[in-house]
Amino acid sequence: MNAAVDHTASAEEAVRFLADHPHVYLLGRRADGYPTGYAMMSRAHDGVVDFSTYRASAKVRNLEREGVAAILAVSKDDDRALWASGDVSVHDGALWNAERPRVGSDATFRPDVPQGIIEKVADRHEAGKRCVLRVTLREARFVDRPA
Amino acid sequence: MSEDEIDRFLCSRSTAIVVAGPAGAAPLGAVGDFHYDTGTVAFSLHPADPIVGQLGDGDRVCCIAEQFPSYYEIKSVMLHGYATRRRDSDRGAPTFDLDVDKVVSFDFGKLTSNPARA
Repeated sequence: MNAAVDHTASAEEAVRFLADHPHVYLLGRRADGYPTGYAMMSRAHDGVVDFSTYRASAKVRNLEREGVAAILAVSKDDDRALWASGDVSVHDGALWNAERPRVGSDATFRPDVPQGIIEKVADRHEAGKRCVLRVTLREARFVDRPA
Repeated sequence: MSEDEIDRFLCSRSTAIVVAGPAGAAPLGAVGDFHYDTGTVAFSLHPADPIVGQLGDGDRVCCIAEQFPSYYEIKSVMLHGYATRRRDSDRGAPTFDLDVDKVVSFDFGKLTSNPARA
């Protein structure tokens, strides 16, 4: 049982799991040195995981400073979780709206988010207030929960 | 969230996300069992989770308790503090006490856009 906790995942397996479980925790480090996690919706595709967030947020500052981040995706269906890590980059907010048709519609991507919120987020991407925070995956593994 | 709201919310949680790991690398993350009793916080991890081998007494940890049944029911409490391993947990799931230093919380139900607030 104990030996089965660490299972390396391929990039394809990681992206598939993340796409199926888009509610994830983006893991980084605060300016005061504490590790921390941000609960966020994600878009996983083509070896990368994208997040929509405010350009001026502490989250962006923290992750840009560190240059690396991790992601923890939890399944409600089984006991597996996926941990992945990679390099951080920040991209223009318009990318979020431009990629929507290719990497998933809002109907399946954010089932619980009111339409008004989705439209507000899209507007703020176009206005440059929001950006795309991207993690390019380098390493991933499945981890088990406590028995 | 107020202190009372945080206390009630944490009492209702049995699972937490645990974030840890040394500086200079991407943090490790795990799903742990969450233990809370009137301000006392602890968490348990799978014995072979990579965090267990990395986490020494006094190391910094973030413990996240969250719910997200719907957008306006999202609540989260992030507890940042220092971990100490319970010596009596060596044979079962490793359990760590958390000496909480900082607390961050949010409740989407309090957003002004929530129609239920009208």
